[in-house]
Amino acid sequence: MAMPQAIENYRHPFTVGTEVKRMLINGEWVRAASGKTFESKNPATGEVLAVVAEGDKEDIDRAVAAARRAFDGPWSKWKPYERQALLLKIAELVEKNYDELSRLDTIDMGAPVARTLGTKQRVLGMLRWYSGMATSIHGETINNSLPGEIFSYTLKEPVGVVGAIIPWNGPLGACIWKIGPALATGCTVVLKPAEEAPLTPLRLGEILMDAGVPPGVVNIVPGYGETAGAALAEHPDVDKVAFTGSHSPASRSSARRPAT
Amino acid sequence: MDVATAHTRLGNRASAFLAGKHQLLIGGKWVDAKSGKRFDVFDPATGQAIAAVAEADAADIDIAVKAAREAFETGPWSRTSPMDRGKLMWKLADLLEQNADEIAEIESLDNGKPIRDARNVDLPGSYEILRYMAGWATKINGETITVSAPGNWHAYTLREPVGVVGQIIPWNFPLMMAAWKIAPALAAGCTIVLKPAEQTPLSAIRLGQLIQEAGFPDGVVNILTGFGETAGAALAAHPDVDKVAFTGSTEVGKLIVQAAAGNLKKVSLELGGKSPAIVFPDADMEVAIAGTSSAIFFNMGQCCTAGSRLYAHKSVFDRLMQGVADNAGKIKVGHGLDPESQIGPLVSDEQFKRVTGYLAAGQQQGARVVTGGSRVGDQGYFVQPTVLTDTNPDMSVIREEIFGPVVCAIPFDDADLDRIARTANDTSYGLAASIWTRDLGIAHKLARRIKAGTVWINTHNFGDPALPFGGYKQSGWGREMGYEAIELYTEVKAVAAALG
Repeated sequence: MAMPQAIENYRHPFTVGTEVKRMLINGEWVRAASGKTFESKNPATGEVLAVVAEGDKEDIDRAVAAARRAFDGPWSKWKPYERQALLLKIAELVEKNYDELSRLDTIDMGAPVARTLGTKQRVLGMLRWYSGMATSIHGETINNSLPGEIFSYTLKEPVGVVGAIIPWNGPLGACIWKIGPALATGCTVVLKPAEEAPLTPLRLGEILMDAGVPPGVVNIVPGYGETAGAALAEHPDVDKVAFTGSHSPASRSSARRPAT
Repeated sequence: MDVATAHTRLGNRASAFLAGKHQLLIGGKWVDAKSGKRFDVFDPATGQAIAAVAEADAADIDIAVKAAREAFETGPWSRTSPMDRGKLMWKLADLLEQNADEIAEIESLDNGKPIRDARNVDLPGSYEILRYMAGWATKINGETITVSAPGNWHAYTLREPVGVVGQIIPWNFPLMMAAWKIAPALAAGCTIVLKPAEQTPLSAIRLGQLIQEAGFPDGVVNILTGFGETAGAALAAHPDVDKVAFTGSTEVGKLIVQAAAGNLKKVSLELGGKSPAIVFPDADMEVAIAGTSSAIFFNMGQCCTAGSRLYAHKSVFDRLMQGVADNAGKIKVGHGLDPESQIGPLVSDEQFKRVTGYLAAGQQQGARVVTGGSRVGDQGYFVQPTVLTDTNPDMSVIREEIFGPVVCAIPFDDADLDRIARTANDTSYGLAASIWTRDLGIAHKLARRIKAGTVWINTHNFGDPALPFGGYKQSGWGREMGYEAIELYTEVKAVAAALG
């Protein structure tokens, strides 16, 4: 068969070399605290594409702390149009690197390149749509019926530190779904990619840094759902968790959320 | 039933109302016109006068605007909470519903429409919009806005009532048009000078009585019966009126715009139409025949949304046209108060002459009468439900709004939606259209191509208080109903505070 051979011969620039793929915490590329790693394989060939730092509870703790500091830090003073400009810059870089990102999705999770390339307009459209939303987040002034002159209004404020757990069936798009609205609103993010397909999220992390995302605003911690994912879902300093995936882990995730 | 004696079927309460003195409601009091003049109101089924009402002119309008201004600026209304405005509106709706039988009789006698339409369409259409808009009274919010300028800011908007509004309404749904106008204005906190159509002033006077009974403060709603050329013109031109809302013909709409220019008052207009109904070969023919018949014959065709251009694919054209013509022939025409009547007379002698004039012009220009085509009887303003065909796009019956029970049936032999839309859009109007098909793709693709404020799919003349209503092109400015109506009666104020 021609296609597997084509894949065997294909070397993606992100998978060249034997260096462990590190996690992104507070703007730095770091090893897991435990030193553990796991392999990311090409499902078409079984070939090991990369060895990846395996985050667990301790790394999630570090990432959440970084996200909290970032949320309370200068990021909170960014004006809507600055967040808008950042998202537009990200869109520009993702567009420039789209072929590479989509091929990385293909070798890491198996979807034909026709599909991963075919979502280009959708992925870029999301980023640009969220960039516009950054300047359009309004609360309301409330027309109350209280006696006297009482002025009341609502503010729509960022929820805070967001834990994002994404699936393996469209890693690039899933990252954007979670990171786009978080950046538009001024949240900070700890993203846990699927253990089956962590490479595109890590490559996207490089692009986010190049675009100028401040340290700690987006943290990316690869690892397993049972360890890193669970730690993120139940972390007491995470304000919101966003999960895409199967029904039963979602229920577990909800059940583990601490009572508030 | 004998048309001449039909009005004797009025109930006691409607009779008592009719026999009362019909004055102007200004500043919470019923008064005569300054000039002392009155004008007659006619039963369009007989042409006989049934009442005389006060005839307001510029002097009365001026007094009413002052009363409305005082109510808006300093009266109790200016301190009435949104919640209490909503309660008053709900109370008014209840009163209309409680008196619905009586008011429907008044409406039927004055306008000519069948009593069952008045009772089942006009009255619910009136109290339901009041209840819907009563809900908005407490929800007219502004926004807090995140600005991007350097520094610390608190910026927000307030949505405030526009002020004193003049409302000029038509005769085709007299009470319902009054309710459509006053409901959003009251919800927003405006005060109102309402001028009903001179052809049909009676139900507005009854509405005024109920507004007082509901407990609205004096001057919040002023109701002045009079003629368009005098009272209407004075209201549209008045320098202390902040906004004028008009429903009626495109021709008069343009006069309103000119009159409003003096103080640049805000203007909203709901004007004429020449709405197409477009039937595709896959449509459910029974549904399409019934629906496109009702689209043109309901209310004697005196609907701004009447489906007056009926386009049908060649393969179903004969069946559809024959079906509509058969329906037209079966319609029972009679006095509005006759419970058997399905359509009544046209509203006035003027309207009768207009519609019969178009019928004559159409035939002279070569249109063929499939059914109808002439008056009914020799008394009142009855016209036969009429189907014309063999028209061409330049005929006046195709280009102009007839506002009567006259439909032009036109075949098309095409599957190209762009070309079909071009034909449907070949009009200076853009109020409504209906599409009849079982194909979801055709329905929604064509809906996007139609230049009209409302597009119906497998129905016509459907409305709901929540659905914005208004026109593209020369069918008007603005949208009534829905939250869009609240926007028509409010101004937006931006407030920006430097927090240092």
